[in-house]
Amino acid sequence: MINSKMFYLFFLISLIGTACTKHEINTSSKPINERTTVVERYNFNGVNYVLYFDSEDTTGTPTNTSTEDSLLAAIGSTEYNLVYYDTNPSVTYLEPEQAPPSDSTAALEGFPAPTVCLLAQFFENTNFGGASFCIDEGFEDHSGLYNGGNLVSEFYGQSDLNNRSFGNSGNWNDRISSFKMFGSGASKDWYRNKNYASSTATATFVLYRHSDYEKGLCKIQKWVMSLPYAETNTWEVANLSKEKWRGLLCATMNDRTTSIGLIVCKGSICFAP
Amino acid sequence: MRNIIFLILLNCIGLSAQISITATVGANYSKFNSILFGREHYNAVNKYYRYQLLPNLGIELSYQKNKFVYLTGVSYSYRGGRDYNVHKFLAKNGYDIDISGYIEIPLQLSYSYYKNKISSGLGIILHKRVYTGSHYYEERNKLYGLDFRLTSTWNINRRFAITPAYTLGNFDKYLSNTKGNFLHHVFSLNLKYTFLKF
Repeated sequence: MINSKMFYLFFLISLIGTACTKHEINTSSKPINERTTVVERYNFNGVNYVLYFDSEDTTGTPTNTSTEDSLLAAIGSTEYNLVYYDTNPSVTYLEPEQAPPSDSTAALEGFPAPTVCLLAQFFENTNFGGASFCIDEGFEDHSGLYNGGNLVSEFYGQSDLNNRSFGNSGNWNDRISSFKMFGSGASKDWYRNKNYASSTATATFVLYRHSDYEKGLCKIQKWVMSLPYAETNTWEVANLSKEKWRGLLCATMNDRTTSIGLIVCKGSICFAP
Repeated sequence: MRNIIFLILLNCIGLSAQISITATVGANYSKFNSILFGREHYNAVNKYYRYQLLPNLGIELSYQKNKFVYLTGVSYSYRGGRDYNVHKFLAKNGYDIDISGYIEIPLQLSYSYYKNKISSGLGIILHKRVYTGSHYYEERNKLYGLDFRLTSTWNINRRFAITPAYTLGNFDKYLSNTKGNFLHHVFSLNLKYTFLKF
């Protein structure tokens, strides 16, 4: 009986003795400095590349070298044509020289060119179909979070998709049905160049049902990807009809998104969804 | 002779064994633990995880034979926690809440004492995650798991009881060192009502 008493006493003490530690959060933040880097985006053999140039440098030599032979010695190669598509004018496609020059352009006009995004891509239809837009550097809302003078987290987002045009007269409010992130190729370079390569680094996608990043039950959902995993694995949600807003008995998410966010974090302190 | 032994055994069971069906509702005081995300992640981030109060409810079936109580059932339980690893730019309250919902099937063994007023025991819980408030890539396909539970029950009277318990969630992931999954620390306190005994 004494053993039983001791056991119960020990068990009660173990239940009551829950450890609560005190934490302090450094809430200091600074605006991000204006960039002095020129970014050019290319697609070669289906792989995306981004070349960074110092805006003060006139030699045309990129500052990064982790691309395929520095993208054929910064496009000095004559074996490829540089092709531009109206649907995605910010990306230059490298296509073999032997491709018929005039007919190919006409043939391709009937097909949407593949879109190249640096960080993420949101689609009008399920299974990544229909129109799309990217989250890249220079996206609508962009903020940096600093801790001890070091950049520890960045936020890219759009507080109201009513302000993002769709077609001639529409907008992207309540139109998103699928999305995907990018973590390899140029995206991997981008993350690594900004020191988002540690095992604690994450990319968090946040979708909000209402504008201005409004939180609450049935108003938010988030997906968290470890960035080291992202270099070899894809993080994509092909059908938001199968996803529900966070909370009990909430509605499905397809065509119900009004603001979006992407939080990139090194792991110590992050922007909150 | 066999019939006599059988009758004696039946009589013994009838005198000491009892089956109860109980409704249970309570609160979980839970948080996540990120040790399976790696030591670097754990050291950098885990200190920002704090406890959050969440509900649970279920139905239990128990069988008591002499001093031992065998328990199973089914319940729906929320686990989660507060994540203070955030900045107040968007999180005005300074934290984010991660919640997941689980269907649980406990398999427990307890020992009764103090004239069956109190029982203490341990067991495992088979769970399936049926609701995810935050999707973490590495655990997205790990819907099933096994938990370890320490529990105790104070029988207030024939109908009502109070049960504190501690559950270490995703214990199987810990044993198998499955990376990128959260462990769950869940302290629970439940009120039970036994509506059927035979």
